[in-house]
Amino acid sequence: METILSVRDLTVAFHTYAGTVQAVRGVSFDLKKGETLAIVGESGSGKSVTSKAIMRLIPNPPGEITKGEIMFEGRDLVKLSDKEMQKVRGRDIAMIFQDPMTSLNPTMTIFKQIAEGLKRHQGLTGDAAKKRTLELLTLVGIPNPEARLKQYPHQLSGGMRQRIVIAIALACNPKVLIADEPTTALDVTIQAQILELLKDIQQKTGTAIIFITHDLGVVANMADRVAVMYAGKLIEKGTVDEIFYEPRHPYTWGLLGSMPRPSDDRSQDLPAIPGTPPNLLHPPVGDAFAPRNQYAMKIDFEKEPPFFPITDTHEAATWLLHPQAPYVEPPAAIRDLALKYRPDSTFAKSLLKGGLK
Amino acid sequence: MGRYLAQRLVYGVLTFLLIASFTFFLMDLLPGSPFQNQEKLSPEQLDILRDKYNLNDPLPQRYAAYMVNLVQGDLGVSFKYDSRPVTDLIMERIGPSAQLGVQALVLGVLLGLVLGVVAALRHNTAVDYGAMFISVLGISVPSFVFASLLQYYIGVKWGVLPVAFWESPAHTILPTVSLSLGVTASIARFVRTEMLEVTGQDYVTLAKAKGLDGQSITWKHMVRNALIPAITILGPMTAALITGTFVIEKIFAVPGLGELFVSSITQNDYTVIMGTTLFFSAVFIFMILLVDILYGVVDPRIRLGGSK
Amino acid sequence: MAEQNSNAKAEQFDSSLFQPVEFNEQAGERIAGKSLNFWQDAWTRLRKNKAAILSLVIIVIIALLSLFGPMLSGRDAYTQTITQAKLPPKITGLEWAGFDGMATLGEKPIDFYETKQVKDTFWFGTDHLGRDLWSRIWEGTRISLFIGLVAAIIDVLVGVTYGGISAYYGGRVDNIMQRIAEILTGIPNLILIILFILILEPGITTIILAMTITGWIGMSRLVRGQILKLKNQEFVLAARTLGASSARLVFKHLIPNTLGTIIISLMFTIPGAIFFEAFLSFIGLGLAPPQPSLGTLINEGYKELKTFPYLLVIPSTILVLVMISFNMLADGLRDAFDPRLRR
Repeated sequence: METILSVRDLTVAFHTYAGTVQAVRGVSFDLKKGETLAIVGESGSGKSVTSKAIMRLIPNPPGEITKGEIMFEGRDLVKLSDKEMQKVRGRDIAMIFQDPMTSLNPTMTIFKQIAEGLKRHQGLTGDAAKKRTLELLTLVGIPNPEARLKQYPHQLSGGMRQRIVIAIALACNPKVLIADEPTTALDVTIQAQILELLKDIQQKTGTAIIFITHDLGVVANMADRVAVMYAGKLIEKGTVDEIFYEPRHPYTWGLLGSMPRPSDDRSQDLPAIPGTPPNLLHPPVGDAFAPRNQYAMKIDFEKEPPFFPITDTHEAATWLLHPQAPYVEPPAAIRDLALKYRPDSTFAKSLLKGGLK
Repeated sequence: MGRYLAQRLVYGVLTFLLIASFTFFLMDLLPGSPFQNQEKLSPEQLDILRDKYNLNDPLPQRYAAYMVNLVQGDLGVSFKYDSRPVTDLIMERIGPSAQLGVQALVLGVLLGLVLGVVAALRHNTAVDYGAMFISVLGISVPSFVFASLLQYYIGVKWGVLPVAFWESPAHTILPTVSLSLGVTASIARFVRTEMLEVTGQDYVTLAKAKGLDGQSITWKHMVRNALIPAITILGPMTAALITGTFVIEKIFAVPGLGELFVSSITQNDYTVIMGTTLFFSAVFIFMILLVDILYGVVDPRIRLGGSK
Repeated sequence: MAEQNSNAKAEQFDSSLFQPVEFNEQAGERIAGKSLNFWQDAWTRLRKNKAAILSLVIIVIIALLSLFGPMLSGRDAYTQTITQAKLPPKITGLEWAGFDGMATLGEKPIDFYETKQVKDTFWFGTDHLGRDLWSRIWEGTRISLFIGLVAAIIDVLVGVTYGGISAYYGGRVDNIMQRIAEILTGIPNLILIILFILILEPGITTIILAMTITGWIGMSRLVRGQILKLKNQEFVLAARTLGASSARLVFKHLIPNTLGTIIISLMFTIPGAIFFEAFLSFIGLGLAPPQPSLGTLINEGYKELKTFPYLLVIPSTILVLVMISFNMLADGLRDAFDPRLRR
């Protein structure tokens, strides 16, 4: 499928009074037309900064895109002027934020907040803008849209507000929609509704979605492909099945292992990844995950691992995939998952044979 | 909203009556007498004078009389100024004070707004530092020092503007500028802080994500939300203006209420002190009430009720 | 999805590099960077604020001068020598900077030291009664600083007690106490202060008392707000659950966490009180002569402004310097204590 957005070696730094923080350290990925790419990682891994960098919404100062390119429709967004970038934002690439309670302007009516983008990018005003706004409100499933136009955000519930934020993002039929933890701040039942809405909208409009989250359950539900992020870098990329059933990076193992399952034996502790992510004020040498990695080898502390391709769609950055690396046994939870749900995969077969490569 | 307003109104009236009673008893404790400094009077003459102003009545009776008169808008007569009614004196003097106060408020608020918004938009640049230095200066330089210097250099030395008195619009310039300095500084600081607070809000990021240009984001999303809290300082601002008029009117010989108040103090003119005190208090209480109402009008979260 | 940098497969390394490393769970828990406690952290931040540090230095210098300045000139602040009245400032070596003993009378500049046949030099000149202005200014500065400091401390003590009690007990106590405070704020404090000064004897104590009558309300509001916020925070609930006594809660948890707010407010109150003293003295309600304060000196100077501007300019400069320094220091402290508010 056609690639619509291509990020190469994206590097973002924040200059704070304590020093320079390397929040994103050389991230590369492609987004294809109409697909959903999930970027997963724990807080502070740089996933949110990555998404803001694509929109060029990193506040400068203190933040700065120091390296890399973001190719969209033949143009490098990093090199666009502020004026040119304004035309991309909201029209070609739109964004949904985490907290619907704070992302709407408290002193502006719903109608004005949606119509602003319509006026700016499509020149719609008056009745045309009203008609389109009503269409959008209906699309995002807001009951009685006519009555909502003159209301203010505080008169709506959190779920309703997030629908409004989505309507604002969809206003100009963007080709790429970036959703930055769009359900984290919502109740579980509302979460499900909003996820369904996003899927539904993607089917209707064919927009590509970058879905930022730390919730693997949401990833399984939404994503076509997954990129796992750790300490400002992507460490494993693959289709959703590959990441869930054939993971290769020890960090991905840790993430999946710490996800609770209804079938779990409750008498046992949920496995956690020990330790804390590194301080990106002083990024570590070698593999950033090495100090927390129980499979770490000497080389992990000395050289940064490159991406090792596994299939056409799957690659991981860990020295364990190097031909010289010894065979290691993945945690039992990962093994069980692979054998139970994908017994025919090469991963499962090699697990049985006792050789991972 | 209606109930809230009624409650505020009751509070305002209550506060006013309390101040009135309080000042009345304070006046009674004042050392000295309004007649002392006049020609040497015999005890009999003094007694006649005291009788004339009902000063020989017992305190409770005088208090009751004063409060009854007060409710009817009668503030008594001056012990000086040929026994003229205090209300007349206030009415005579209110014009210059009101003009001076309003001019200074408008000038100070406008200048402060511009300074605060510009400083926040150019955060951590020379413009920001410059604006903030001006505002620290404005807060730190007492209005009477600033006024004295303005009067000396612009009025006396360079002779550009009239030195004193209240005759033409040109005469109002120096007093207005002197009085507005503090207002400008406070508003600039406040607006800048609020603007910076708003800059980091998610809805501003969302506005940027919509692709709006800098102008629309600044004016439609930031300034409006930053200005709503700024309304709250208009109350204290009025208090500061009243304080300011005392010295500014003295320095520039403006025939206003502040000047009347200060001179009535030096002359122990009880009724005038009380009258002006109550008048200033009423203005202050009214401004606080007005701020409350304005806040409700401007902020939809309060105007329409509902959760904040 | 294969990308350019993923063909490193062929590269060969020394096989010892692929030896497993013994896993140490603690290693991952190590916290990078040394941790600072609240005060150290605040001090580190304050030290980086040049304006605040400069202000602190100026305040210290002015405070020292106010204590020892009169000794430096060796002249008393109260001795009147009419023959030496109204001598402009003169400092040998600083004539070029205006300290030349000259003043303009009518059209032409006159050296007053020459006409009055005075051999001594007066650094800041003399006033209309021939008193040494240098000594009077530092004496006055000391009195102004004293009034500011004492008034601010009283405000803090009363405010913290009132706000603390109101917030800690909450409920009806809080309700009643807040209604009282609300009514008090409805009164323009300046007028109250003036009325108080009228009944009491003019003097330092009167001014301090008058200013503190309503001055504590702002402080009590801040403290109440802060404690109400803290009271419901997890760490206080946790301490309470663990059985901490009321006294322990107040002294170990609530007050230390309110201290930053209190110090900031104290630093803003001092210049406010100094201003009020000067203001009252300027409209003739301040200290009685011959006692100097920055306000009375400015008031006296204002009367001679046309011929002897130094009488106004010098005390005004000191007053403004003190006010700016306290305000800047308070700003700096606010940024240092509460990085969230850092602007």
